Amino acid sequence: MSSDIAWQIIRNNSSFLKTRKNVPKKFSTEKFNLMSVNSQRFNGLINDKAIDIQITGDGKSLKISTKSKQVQKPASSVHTTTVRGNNPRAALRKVARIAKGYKSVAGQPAQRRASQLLRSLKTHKSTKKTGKAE
Amino acid sequence: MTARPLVTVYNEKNEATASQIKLPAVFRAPIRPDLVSFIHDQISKNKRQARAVSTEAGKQSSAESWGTGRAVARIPRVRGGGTHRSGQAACGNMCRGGHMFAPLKVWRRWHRRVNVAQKRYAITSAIAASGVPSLVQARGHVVDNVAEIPFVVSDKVEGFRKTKEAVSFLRRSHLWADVEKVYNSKRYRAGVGKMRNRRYKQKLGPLIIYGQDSAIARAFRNIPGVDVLNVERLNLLKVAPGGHLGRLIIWTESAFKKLDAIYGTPSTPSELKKGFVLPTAKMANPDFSRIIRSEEVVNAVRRARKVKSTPKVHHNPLKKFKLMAALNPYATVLRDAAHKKQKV
Repeated sequence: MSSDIAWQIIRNNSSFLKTRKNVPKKFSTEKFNLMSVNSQRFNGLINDKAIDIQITGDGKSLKISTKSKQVQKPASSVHTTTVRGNNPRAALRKVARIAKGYKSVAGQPAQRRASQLLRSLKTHKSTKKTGKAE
Repeated sequence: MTARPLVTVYNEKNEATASQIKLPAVFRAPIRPDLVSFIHDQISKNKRQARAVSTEAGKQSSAESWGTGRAVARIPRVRGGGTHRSGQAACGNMCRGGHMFAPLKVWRRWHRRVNVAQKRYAITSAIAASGVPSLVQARGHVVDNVAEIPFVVSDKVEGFRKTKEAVSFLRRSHLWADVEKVYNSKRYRAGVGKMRNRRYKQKLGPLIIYGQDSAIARAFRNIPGVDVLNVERLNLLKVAPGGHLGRLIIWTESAFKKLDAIYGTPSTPSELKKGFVLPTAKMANPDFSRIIRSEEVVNAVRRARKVKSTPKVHHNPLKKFKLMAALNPYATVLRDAAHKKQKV
């Protein structure tokens, strides 16, 4: 189905659409939306070519999904790869390689989102704060 | 997109069977959210029951106006004495205990008649939308692991007697997640409906459409959120609840096969709906990106003119002597004179 028509149907009427009073920007929480923004370019439902980057359940790696051509078969339409979060540079390189074919939509946003998620995966060493002696 | 691919039929254990059915032409009907929303609005008014205020409400007092000259407003007042009520205003909408402004009448126009052609257009649009996974997801159904949309199941499902069988079928077909969504959404209704037998609200789950009357409804009816319909008697209020497109529909094989007979195809008229022809879209090819990249358009269009605009940098003549000299030729003379003076 034409993504333009689908966008006209979904743009103002979707369970993923999030709006708030006095917040002019509309957000959209569906999978495959890299910027979580409600726009035709980034919408994860209507674009055939899309990437999604999420943190896996265990909270240690990134899960990169891409859409395959089987639009009518949701169960087999997603291809996922995982990248471990302990080596952020390698992870970003892998993301760049996967995002290469998606220049029009993903490209930079994919890298940006991946690096933000990787930053959150970093384990912070806890420093003991000794109280000042009276 | 008028291509009509083959849709696989799945058995009750979610295994693909050998049988494949060509997608019925209804699924290529134009999707018109504006029309569906309007028709849904009209049709949903047809189940309303009249309500009104009693005809004598607020008028059952023998009150009469005191007229002028008594230093009170001319509103009818309650006759008699011996009680607080006597002499109080009565009968107006502004009075305590008076009738309301514009008392509600039973003869309000509660129902709406809708053109048959429009009703049919709406239902075909709603069916077409149910075949688009993105619209079904946008509506809020959980379809990440559903094998195919539209989801067609073998007729064995129509033979289900027990809810247990129905539940196990939904679980196996990865449709149970949608039912779980219904369970999790059960909450109190906001407002007075709570005390008017409408205590709870919950989301809607999948809709099951069957082809032959059987006990299928009894197997599925106790599962929250699940609705069951016969193909020949589809209800827009269930196929596009709230006027929103994209309900998750489970078709049985016989129901799916009947669709072409009920709604017809562009080449064969409908057998069951007299004079009905499937609606056609205004644009045959609505894909903007394909149109602008098509051969015909690319060949007809001239090259884009890239206007290179280099910003003109403004320099300060007081700091750049060459500019000063260009503006004021005498500046050169002045400068040389100044130099000579310095040397001396």
